[in-house]
Amino acid sequence: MAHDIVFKPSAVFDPERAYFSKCGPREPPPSPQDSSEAKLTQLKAAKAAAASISSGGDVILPCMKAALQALEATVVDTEGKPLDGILIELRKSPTEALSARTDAAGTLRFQGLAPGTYQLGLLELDQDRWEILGSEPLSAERAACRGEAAWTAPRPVAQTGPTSYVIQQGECLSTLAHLHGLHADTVWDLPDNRDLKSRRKNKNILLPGDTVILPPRQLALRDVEPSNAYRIRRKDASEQLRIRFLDRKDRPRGGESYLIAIDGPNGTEERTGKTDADGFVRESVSATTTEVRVTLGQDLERETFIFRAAHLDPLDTLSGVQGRLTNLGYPCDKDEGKLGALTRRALQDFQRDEGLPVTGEPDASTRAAIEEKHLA
Amino acid sequence: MRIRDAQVEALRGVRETHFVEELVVHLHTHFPDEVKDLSGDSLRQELREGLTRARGYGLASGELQTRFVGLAALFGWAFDQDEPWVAKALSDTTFEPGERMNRVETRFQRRLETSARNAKARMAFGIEV
Repeated sequence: MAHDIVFKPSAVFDPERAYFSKCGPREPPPSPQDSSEAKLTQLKAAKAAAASISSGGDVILPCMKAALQALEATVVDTEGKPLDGILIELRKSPTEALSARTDAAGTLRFQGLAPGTYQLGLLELDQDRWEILGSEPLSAERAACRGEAAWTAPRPVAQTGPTSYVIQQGECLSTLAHLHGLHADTVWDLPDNRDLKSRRKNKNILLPGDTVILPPRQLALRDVEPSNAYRIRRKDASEQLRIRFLDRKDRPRGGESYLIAIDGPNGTEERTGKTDADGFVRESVSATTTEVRVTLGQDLERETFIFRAAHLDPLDTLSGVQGRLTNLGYPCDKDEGKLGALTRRALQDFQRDEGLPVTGEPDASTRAAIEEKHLA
Repeated sequence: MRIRDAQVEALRGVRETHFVEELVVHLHTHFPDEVKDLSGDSLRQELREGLTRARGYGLASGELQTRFVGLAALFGWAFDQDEPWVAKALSDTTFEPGERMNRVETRFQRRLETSARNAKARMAFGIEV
Protein backbone atom coordinates (compact mmCIF):
# COMPACT_ATOMS: atom_id res chain seq x y z
CA MET A 1 0.00 0.00 0.00
CA ALA A 2 1.48 3.34 -1.00
CA HIS A 3 0.71 6.63 0.64
CA ASP A 4 1.15 9.24 -2.05
CA ILE A 5 1.40 12.98 -1.86
CA VAL A 6 2.62 15.65 -4.20
CA PHE A 7 3.87 18.82 -2.62
CA LYS A 8 5.13 22.08 -3.93
CA PRO A 9 5.56 25.32 -2.03
CA SER A 10 2.93 27.99 -2.52
CA ALA A 11 3.61 31.66 -2.99
CA VAL A 12 1.82 32.33 0.28
CA PHE A 13 2.58 29.57 2.74
CA ASP A 14 -0.36 28.39 4.76
CA PRO A 15 -0.21 25.23 6.90
CA GLU A 16 -3.23 23.08 6.07
CA ARG A 17 -4.70 19.66 6.61
CA ALA A 18 -3.62 16.96 4.24
CA TYR A 19 -3.36 13.19 4.14
CA PHE A 20 -0.05 14.13 5.55
CA SER A 21 -0.98 17.42 7.08
CA LYS A 22 0.62 20.72 7.95
CA CYS A 23 2.68 20.78 4.82
CA GLY A 24 5.03 23.66 4.49
CA PRO A 25 8.42 24.95 5.42
CA ARG A 26 9.49 24.80 9.03
CA GLU A 27 12.71 25.52 10.84
CA PRO A 28 15.34 22.85 10.41
CA PRO A 29 15.59 20.25 13.16
CA PRO A 30 17.64 21.27 16.21
CA SER A 31 21.25 20.21 16.38
CA PRO A 32 21.56 18.61 19.78
CA GLN A 33 24.80 17.45 21.25
CA ASP A 34 24.65 13.67 21.04
CA SER A 35 26.64 11.31 23.22
CA SER A 36 24.59 8.20 22.55
CA GLU A 37 27.38 6.34 20.78
CA ALA A 38 29.79 6.94 23.66
CA LYS A 39 27.20 5.91 26.25
CA LEU A 40 26.47 2.73 24.32
CA THR A 41 30.15 1.80 24.36
CA GLN A 42 30.37 2.54 28.08
CA LEU A 43 27.31 0.45 28.84
CA LYS A 44 28.51 -2.58 26.91
CA ALA A 45 32.00 -2.46 28.41
CA ALA A 46 30.67 -2.05 31.94
CA LYS A 47 28.26 -4.96 31.47
CA ALA A 48 31.07 -7.22 30.32
CA ALA A 49 33.24 -6.15 33.25
CA ALA A 50 30.43 -6.71 35.77
CA ALA A 51 30.80 -10.46 35.35
CA SER A 52 34.29 -10.27 36.83
CA ILE A 53 33.30 -8.39 39.99
CA SER A 54 34.23 -11.02 42.53
CA SER A 55 32.64 -9.80 45.71
CA GLY A 56 29.14 -8.58 46.38
CA GLY A 57 25.80 -10.24 46.07
CA ASP A 58 24.11 -12.60 48.46
CA VAL A 59 26.25 -15.21 50.09
CA ILE A 60 23.68 -17.84 49.25
CA LEU A 61 22.13 -17.99 45.77
CA PRO A 62 19.53 -20.43 44.43
CA CYS A 63 20.94 -23.42 42.59
CA MET A 64 20.48 -24.00 38.89
CA LYS A 65 17.65 -26.43 38.30
CA ALA A 66 19.24 -28.92 35.96
CA ALA A 67 15.94 -30.38 34.86
CA LEU A 68 14.31 -27.03 34.01
CA GLN A 69 14.84 -25.25 30.75
CA ALA A 70 14.11 -22.01 28.94
CA LEU A 71 12.43 -21.21 25.66
CA GLU A 72 12.99 -18.00 23.70
CA ALA A 73 10.80 -16.36 21.09
CA THR A 74 11.80 -13.39 18.94
CA VAL A 75 9.16 -11.54 16.95
CA VAL A 76 10.12 -9.49 13.89
CA ASP A 77 8.26 -7.58 11.21
CA THR A 78 8.34 -8.30 7.48
CA GLU A 79 11.65 -6.42 7.23
CA GLY A 80 13.25 -8.38 10.04
CA LYS A 81 13.11 -5.57 12.57
CA PRO A 82 12.43 -6.67 16.16
CA LEU A 83 9.00 -5.89 17.56
CA ASP A 84 8.67 -4.59 21.08
CA GLY A 85 5.70 -5.28 23.34
CA ILE A 86 4.17 -8.27 21.53
CA LEU A 87 2.08 -10.37 23.93
CA ILE A 88 2.94 -14.08 23.83
CA GLU A 89 1.35 -16.88 25.84
CA LEU A 90 2.90 -20.27 26.48
CA ARG A 91 0.41 -22.96 27.50
CA LYS A 92 1.40 -26.05 29.42
CA SER A 93 -2.17 -27.31 29.73
CA PRO A 94 -5.69 -25.86 29.38
CA THR A 95 -5.32 -24.43 32.89
CA GLU A 96 -1.64 -23.47 33.07
CA ALA A 97 0.03 -20.72 31.08
CA LEU A 98 2.74 -18.07 31.13
CA SER A 99 2.37 -14.78 29.31
CA ALA A 100 4.47 -11.68 28.86
CA ARG A 101 5.53 -9.15 26.24
CA THR A 102 8.64 -9.11 24.08
CA ASP A 103 11.42 -6.74 25.11
CA ALA A 104 13.01 -3.95 23.09
CA ALA A 105 14.98 -6.58 21.11
CA GLY A 106 11.73 -8.34 20.20
CA THR A 107 12.61 -11.29 22.41
CA LEU A 108 10.80 -13.05 25.23
CA ARG A 109 12.33 -15.74 27.41
CA PHE A 110 10.16 -18.25 29.22
CA GLN A 111 11.97 -20.04 32.05
CA GLY A 112 11.44 -22.93 34.44
CA LEU A 113 10.04 -25.33 31.87
CA ALA A 114 10.11 -29.08 32.18
CA PRO A 115 10.88 -30.99 28.98
CA GLY A 116 7.81 -31.60 26.85
CA THR A 117 5.56 -29.96 24.30
CA TYR A 118 3.85 -26.64 24.93
CA GLN A 119 1.59 -24.42 22.87
CA LEU A 120 2.54 -20.89 21.94
CA GLY A 121 0.19 -18.16 20.76
CA LEU A 122 0.34 -14.43 20.05
CA LEU A 123 -2.79 -13.36 21.86
CA GLU A 124 -3.31 -9.95 20.29
CA LEU A 125 -2.79 -11.05 16.69
CA ASP A 126 -5.21 -12.80 14.40
CA GLN A 127 -4.16 -16.25 13.21
CA ASP A 128 -3.44 -14.88 9.73
CA ARG A 129 -1.16 -12.18 11.08
CA TRP A 130 1.80 -14.24 12.30
CA GLU A 131 3.85 -17.35 11.54
CA ILE A 132 6.80 -19.25 13.02
CA LEU A 133 9.71 -18.89 10.62
CA GLY A 134 11.90 -21.49 12.28
CA SER A 135 13.79 -22.47 15.42
CA GLU A 136 17.29 -23.29 16.57
CA PRO A 137 18.53 -24.98 19.75
CA LEU A 138 19.58 -22.80 22.65
CA SER A 139 23.11 -23.22 23.99
CA ALA A 140 23.35 -25.14 27.26
CA GLU A 141 24.09 -21.88 29.05
CA ARG A 142 21.09 -20.11 27.57
CA ALA A 143 18.80 -23.10 28.09
CA ALA A 144 19.60 -23.41 31.82
CA CYS A 145 17.66 -21.50 34.46
CA ARG A 146 17.32 -21.28 38.20
CA GLY A 147 13.69 -20.86 39.10
CA GLU A 148 10.48 -22.65 38.39
CA ALA A 149 7.81 -21.06 36.23
CA ALA A 150 4.88 -19.40 37.98
CA TRP A 151 1.99 -20.89 36.02
CA THR A 152 -1.34 -19.08 35.96
CA ALA A 153 -4.63 -19.59 34.19
CA PRO A 154 -4.56 -18.81 30.45
CA ARG A 155 -5.78 -15.33 29.57
CA PRO A 156 -9.41 -15.34 28.48
CA VAL A 157 -9.90 -14.83 24.77
CA ALA A 158 -13.14 -13.05 23.96
CA GLN A 159 -15.06 -14.79 21.21
CA THR A 160 -17.38 -12.12 19.89
CA GLY A 161 -18.97 -11.48 16.55
CA PRO A 162 -17.95 -8.72 14.13
CA THR A 163 -17.82 -5.24 15.65
CA SER A 164 -18.39 -1.91 13.98
CA TYR A 165 -16.01 1.00 14.42
CA VAL A 166 -16.54 4.65 13.49
CA ILE A 167 -13.46 6.27 11.93
CA GLN A 168 -12.06 9.36 13.69
CA GLN A 169 -9.83 12.03 12.14
CA GLY A 170 -6.27 10.75 11.88
CA GLU A 171 -7.34 7.11 11.51
CA CYS A 172 -7.18 4.90 8.49
CA LEU A 173 -7.91 1.27 7.88
CA SER A 174 -4.27 0.19 8.20
CA THR A 175 -3.91 1.70 11.67
CA LEU A 176 -7.29 0.37 12.73
CA ALA A 177 -6.54 -3.16 11.58
CA HIS A 178 -3.13 -2.99 13.23
CA LEU A 179 -4.59 -1.87 16.55
CA HIS A 180 -7.00 -4.81 16.51
CA GLY A 181 -4.36 -7.35 15.53
CA LEU A 182 -5.84 -7.92 12.11
CA HIS A 183 -4.30 -7.81 8.66
CA ALA A 184 -5.48 -4.70 6.77
CA ASP A 185 -6.51 -6.78 3.76
CA THR A 186 -8.58 -9.11 5.98
CA VAL A 187 -10.65 -6.12 7.08
CA TRP A 188 -10.85 -4.42 3.68
CA ASP A 189 -11.96 -7.60 1.92
CA LEU A 190 -14.62 -8.48 4.48
CA PRO A 191 -18.01 -8.80 2.75
CA ASP A 192 -19.48 -6.56 5.47
CA ASN A 193 -17.23 -3.74 4.23
CA ARG A 194 -18.18 -4.11 0.56
CA ASP A 195 -20.21 -0.91 0.56
CA LEU A 196 -17.41 1.09 2.19
CA LYS A 197 -14.91 -0.36 -0.28
CA SER A 198 -17.01 0.71 -3.24
CA ARG A 199 -17.42 4.25 -1.88
CA ARG A 200 -13.80 4.77 -0.78
CA LYS A 201 -11.38 3.45 -3.38
CA ASN A 202 -8.41 3.82 -1.05
CA LYS A 203 -8.62 2.00 2.28
CA ASN A 204 -6.34 4.59 3.86
CA ILE A 205 -8.33 7.63 2.80
CA LEU A 206 -11.50 7.39 4.84
CA LEU A 207 -13.81 10.07 6.13
CA PRO A 208 -14.36 10.65 9.84
CA GLY A 209 -17.72 9.04 10.48
CA ASP A 210 -17.19 6.13 8.08
CA THR A 211 -18.08 2.81 9.71
CA VAL A 212 -15.70 -0.13 9.39
CA ILE A 213 -16.72 -3.67 10.34
CA LEU A 214 -13.99 -5.55 12.17
CA PRO A 215 -14.06 -9.35 12.12
CA PRO A 216 -13.38 -11.26 15.35
CA ARG A 217 -9.77 -12.16 15.96
CA GLN A 218 -9.00 -15.88 15.68
CA LEU A 219 -6.41 -17.28 18.09
CA ALA A 220 -3.78 -19.69 16.76
CA LEU A 221 -1.63 -21.95 18.95
CA ARG A 222 1.53 -23.66 17.71
CA ASP A 223 3.45 -26.53 19.31
CA VAL A 224 6.87 -25.60 20.72
CA GLU A 225 9.52 -27.21 22.93
CA PRO A 226 11.94 -25.82 25.57
CA SER A 227 15.65 -25.38 24.89
CA ASN A 228 14.80 -23.78 21.57
CA ALA A 229 14.75 -20.24 20.24
CA TYR A 230 11.85 -19.54 17.88
CA ARG A 231 11.76 -16.78 15.29
CA ILE A 232 8.28 -15.46 14.59
CA ARG A 233 7.23 -13.02 11.92
CA ARG A 234 4.30 -10.66 12.20
CA LYS A 235 2.76 -10.38 8.76
CA ASP A 236 2.13 -6.71 8.05
CA ALA A 237 0.77 -5.15 4.92
CA SER A 238 3.68 -3.28 3.40
CA GLU A 239 3.24 0.46 3.74
CA GLN A 240 5.24 2.82 1.61
CA LEU A 241 5.27 6.57 1.77
CA ARG A 242 5.78 8.45 -1.47
CA ILE A 243 6.05 12.22 -1.42
CA ARG A 244 6.82 14.07 -4.63
CA PHE A 245 8.47 17.46 -4.32
CA LEU A 246 8.09 19.98 -7.12
CA ASP A 247 9.50 23.46 -7.38
CA ARG A 248 7.37 26.56 -8.09
CA LYS A 249 7.61 25.88 -11.80
CA ASP A 250 6.28 22.35 -11.41
CA ARG A 251 9.68 20.81 -12.06
CA PRO A 252 10.58 17.75 -9.98
CA ARG A 253 13.17 18.36 -7.28
CA GLY A 254 15.16 15.34 -8.38
CA GLY A 255 18.44 14.17 -6.89
CA GLU A 256 18.09 16.25 -3.73
CA SER A 257 19.38 14.98 -0.42
CA TYR A 258 16.81 14.75 2.34
CA LEU A 259 16.55 13.89 5.97
CA ILE A 260 13.34 12.14 7.00
CA ALA A 261 12.11 11.75 10.58
CA ILE A 262 9.36 9.17 11.09
CA ASP A 263 7.42 9.29 14.33
CA GLY A 264 5.84 6.22 15.84
CA PRO A 265 4.84 4.88 19.23
CA ASN A 266 8.42 3.80 20.02
CA GLY A 267 10.01 7.13 19.19
CA THR A 268 11.48 8.81 16.13
CA GLU A 269 13.63 7.20 13.48
CA GLU A 270 15.70 9.42 11.19
CA ARG A 271 17.18 8.45 7.84
CA THR A 272 18.81 10.18 4.89
CA GLY A 273 18.19 9.64 1.22
CA LYS A 274 17.95 11.33 -2.16
CA THR A 275 14.85 12.12 -4.14
CA ASP A 276 14.68 10.17 -7.36
CA ALA A 277 14.73 11.77 -10.79
CA ASP A 278 11.00 12.48 -10.54
CA GLY A 279 11.37 14.23 -7.19
CA PHE A 280 10.01 11.37 -5.11
CA VAL A 281 10.91 10.50 -1.55
CA ARG A 282 10.12 6.79 -1.15
CA GLU A 283 10.33 5.34 2.35
CA SER A 284 8.87 2.40 4.25
CA VAL A 285 6.57 3.38 7.08
CA SER A 286 4.44 1.38 9.44
CA ALA A 287 0.75 1.41 10.25
CA THR A 288 1.64 3.14 13.50
CA THR A 289 3.39 6.10 11.88
CA THR A 290 1.77 9.31 13.13
CA GLU A 291 3.90 12.07 11.65
CA VAL A 292 6.68 12.44 9.12
CA ARG A 293 9.09 15.37 8.74
CA VAL A 294 11.15 15.80 5.59
CA THR A 295 14.04 18.26 5.42
CA LEU A 296 15.27 19.29 1.98
CA GLY A 297 17.82 21.74 0.77
CA GLN A 298 21.05 22.99 2.24
CA ASP A 299 22.13 25.96 4.27
CA LEU A 300 19.84 28.98 3.89
CA GLU A 301 17.51 27.10 1.56
CA ARG A 302 16.95 24.26 3.98
CA GLU A 303 13.27 23.65 4.74
CA THR A 304 11.48 21.09 6.85
CA PHE A 305 8.01 19.91 5.87
CA ILE A 306 5.68 18.22 8.32
CA PHE A 307 3.12 15.64 7.29
CA ARG A 308 0.56 14.07 9.63
CA ALA A 309 -0.63 10.58 8.79
CA ALA A 310 -4.21 9.79 7.79
CA HIS A 311 -5.52 13.34 7.83
CA LEU A 312 -6.52 13.60 4.17
CA ASP A 313 -10.23 13.23 3.51
CA PRO A 314 -11.63 11.44 0.45
CA LEU A 315 -11.67 13.43 -2.80
CA ASP A 316 -15.44 13.38 -3.02
CA THR A 317 -15.55 15.71 0.00
CA LEU A 318 -14.81 19.43 -0.17
CA SER A 319 -12.26 19.08 2.65
CA GLY A 320 -10.52 16.40 0.58
CA VAL A 321 -10.35 18.78 -2.39
CA GLN A 322 -9.01 21.56 -0.16
CA GLY A 323 -6.33 19.33 1.38
CA ARG A 324 -5.05 18.23 -2.00
CA LEU A 325 -5.11 21.72 -3.52
CA THR A 326 -3.10 22.99 -0.55
CA ASN A 327 -0.49 20.28 -1.01
CA LEU A 328 -0.27 21.21 -4.69
CA GLY A 329 0.51 24.81 -3.81
CA TYR A 330 -3.00 26.31 -3.86
CA PRO A 331 -3.64 26.99 -0.18
CA CYS A 332 -7.30 26.96 0.84
CA ASP A 333 -7.61 24.74 3.88
CA LYS A 334 -8.54 27.64 6.12
CA ASP A 335 -12.01 27.49 4.56
CA GLU A 336 -12.35 24.20 6.51
CA GLY A 337 -14.81 22.32 4.37
CA LYS A 338 -16.72 25.40 3.15
CA LEU A 339 -16.65 26.71 -0.40
CA GLY A 340 -15.26 30.10 0.63
CA ALA A 341 -13.26 32.76 -1.20
CA LEU A 342 -9.93 31.02 -0.60
CA THR A 343 -11.19 27.75 -2.05
CA ARG A 344 -12.77 29.42 -5.10
CA ARG A 345 -9.53 31.26 -5.85
CA ALA A 346 -7.51 28.07 -5.38
CA LEU A 347 -9.83 26.16 -7.70
CA GLN A 348 -9.68 28.92 -10.31
CA ASP A 349 -5.88 29.06 -10.17
CA PHE A 350 -5.63 25.29 -10.48
CA GLN A 351 -8.12 25.13 -13.34
CA ARG A 352 -6.30 27.91 -15.18
CA ASP A 353 -2.92 26.19 -14.73
CA GLU A 354 -4.32 22.86 -15.92
CA GLY A 355 -6.17 24.26 -18.92
CA LEU A 356 -9.61 23.47 -17.50
CA PRO A 357 -12.71 25.68 -17.67
CA VAL A 358 -12.22 28.28 -14.95
CA THR A 359 -15.39 27.82 -12.94
CA GLY A 360 -14.18 27.98 -9.34
CA GLU A 361 -16.29 24.87 -8.71
CA PRO A 362 -15.02 21.43 -7.61
CA ASP A 363 -16.61 19.70 -10.62
CA ALA A 364 -15.88 16.18 -11.80
CA SER A 365 -13.19 17.09 -14.33
CA THR A 366 -11.43 19.28 -11.77
CA ARG A 367 -11.48 16.50 -9.17
CA ALA A 368 -10.11 14.04 -11.74
CA ALA A 369 -7.27 16.44 -12.57
CA ILE A 370 -6.55 16.96 -8.87
CA GLU A 371 -6.40 13.21 -8.31
CA GLU A 372 -4.05 12.75 -11.24
CA LYS A 373 -1.74 15.53 -10.07
CA HIS A 374 -1.86 14.59 -6.41
CA LEU A 375 -1.49 10.85 -7.05
CA ALA A 376 -4.24 9.98 -4.56
CA MET B 1 29.83 -28.02 58.56
CA ARG B 2 27.35 -25.69 60.25
CA ILE B 3 27.17 -21.98 59.41
CA ARG B 4 25.39 -19.80 61.96
CA ASP B 5 23.35 -16.67 61.08
CA ALA B 6 25.75 -14.44 63.00
CA GLN B 7 28.64 -15.77 60.96
CA VAL B 8 26.76 -15.11 57.73
CA GLU B 9 26.01 -11.54 58.88
CA ALA B 10 29.64 -10.87 59.76
CA LEU B 11 30.70 -12.25 56.43
CA ARG B 12 28.14 -10.03 54.70
CA GLY B 13 29.47 -6.86 56.31
CA VAL B 14 33.04 -7.47 55.19
CA ARG B 15 31.91 -8.46 51.74
CA GLU B 16 29.72 -5.36 51.46
CA THR B 17 32.56 -3.00 52.28
CA HIS B 18 34.83 -4.70 49.81
CA PHE B 19 32.09 -4.78 47.21
CA VAL B 20 31.40 -1.07 47.50
CA GLU B 21 35.11 -0.35 47.02
CA GLU B 22 35.15 -2.57 43.95
CA LEU B 23 32.15 -0.68 42.60
CA VAL B 24 33.88 2.66 43.17
CA VAL B 25 36.78 1.46 41.03
CA HIS B 26 34.36 -0.02 38.47
CA LEU B 27 32.45 3.24 38.08
CA HIS B 28 35.59 5.37 37.86
CA THR B 29 36.86 3.01 35.17
CA HIS B 30 33.73 2.81 33.04
CA PHE B 31 31.85 6.00 33.87
CA PRO B 32 34.56 8.51 34.80
CA ASP B 33 32.74 11.61 33.58
CA GLU B 34 29.55 10.61 35.33
CA VAL B 35 31.17 10.23 38.76
CA LYS B 36 34.03 12.72 38.64
CA ASP B 37 32.05 15.45 40.40
CA LEU B 38 31.07 13.22 43.31
CA SER B 39 33.19 13.07 46.42
CA GLY B 40 34.23 9.63 47.62
CA ASP B 41 31.69 9.67 50.44
CA SER B 42 28.88 10.91 48.20
CA LEU B 43 29.60 8.22 45.64
CA ARG B 44 29.64 5.50 48.31
CA GLN B 45 26.35 6.82 49.67
CA GLU B 46 24.76 6.69 46.21
CA LEU B 47 26.12 3.18 45.76
CA ARG B 48 24.74 1.94 49.07
CA GLU B 49 21.32 3.40 48.30
CA GLY B 50 21.44 1.92 44.83
CA LEU B 51 22.40 -1.49 46.15
CA THR B 52 19.49 -1.39 48.60
CA ARG B 53 17.06 -0.72 45.77
CA ALA B 54 18.68 -3.34 43.55
CA ARG B 55 18.22 -5.96 46.25
CA GLY B 56 14.64 -4.82 46.72
CA TYR B 57 14.05 -5.85 43.12
CA GLY B 58 15.48 -9.29 43.83
CA LEU B 59 18.83 -8.63 42.11
CA ALA B 60 20.82 -10.90 44.38
CA SER B 61 24.11 -11.49 42.56
CA GLY B 62 27.07 -9.14 42.56
CA GLU B 63 27.01 -9.06 38.78
CA LEU B 64 23.38 -7.90 38.62
CA GLN B 65 23.93 -5.32 41.33
CA THR B 66 26.97 -4.01 39.47
CA ARG B 67 24.98 -3.68 36.28
CA PHE B 68 22.23 -1.88 38.20
CA VAL B 69 24.55 0.78 39.60
CA GLY B 70 26.14 1.12 36.18
CA LEU B 71 22.76 2.08 34.76
CA ALA B 72 22.29 4.46 37.67
CA ALA B 73 25.61 6.18 36.96
CA LEU B 74 24.74 6.56 33.27
CA PHE B 75 21.05 7.43 33.41
CA GLY B 76 20.67 9.02 36.82
CA TRP B 77 21.04 7.72 40.33
CA ALA B 78 17.25 7.46 40.66
CA PHE B 79 16.75 6.10 37.11
CA ASP B 80 14.49 3.30 38.33
CA GLN B 81 12.20 5.83 39.99
CA ASP B 82 12.40 8.58 37.37
CA GLU B 83 11.09 6.22 34.67
CA PRO B 84 8.22 4.09 36.07
CA TRP B 85 8.66 1.35 33.46
CA VAL B 86 12.06 0.50 34.96
CA ALA B 87 10.73 -0.29 38.43
CA LYS B 88 7.86 -2.22 36.88
CA ALA B 89 10.18 -4.29 34.70
CA LEU B 90 12.59 -5.00 37.56
CA SER B 91 9.68 -6.11 39.76
CA ASP B 92 8.08 -8.40 37.18
CA THR B 93 8.32 -11.84 38.74
CA THR B 94 7.29 -13.43 35.43
CA PHE B 95 11.04 -13.38 34.80
CA GLU B 96 14.08 -14.39 36.78
CA PRO B 97 16.11 -11.44 38.12
CA GLY B 98 18.79 -11.84 35.47
CA GLU B 99 16.24 -11.71 32.69
CA ARG B 100 14.59 -8.65 34.25
CA MET B 101 17.92 -6.83 34.19
CA ASN B 102 18.52 -7.99 30.60
CA ARG B 103 15.18 -6.55 29.51
CA VAL B 104 15.82 -3.20 31.16
CA GLU B 105 19.34 -2.95 29.75
CA THR B 106 18.11 -3.93 26.31
CA ARG B 107 15.58 -1.11 26.29
CA PHE B 108 18.18 1.45 27.31
CA GLN B 109 20.59 0.08 24.71
CA ARG B 110 17.98 0.25 21.98
CA ARG B 111 17.21 3.80 22.94
CA LEU B 112 20.88 4.74 22.69
CA GLU B 113 21.26 2.86 19.39
CA THR B 114 18.33 4.73 17.87
CA SER B 115 19.63 8.02 19.15
CA ALA B 116 23.11 7.31 17.76
CA ARG B 117 21.68 6.29 14.38
CA ASN B 118 19.58 9.43 14.24
CA ALA B 119 22.58 11.58 15.10
CA LYS B 120 24.60 9.93 12.32
CA ALA B 121 21.78 10.56 9.86
CA ARG B 122 21.68 14.24 10.81
CA MET B 123 25.45 14.52 10.47
CA ALA B 124 25.38 12.79 7.08
CA PHE B 125 22.75 15.28 5.97
CA GLY B 126 24.91 18.16 7.13
CA ILE B 127 23.18 19.14 10.34
CA GLU B 128 25.96 19.55 12.87
CA VAL B 129 25.71 17.58 16.10
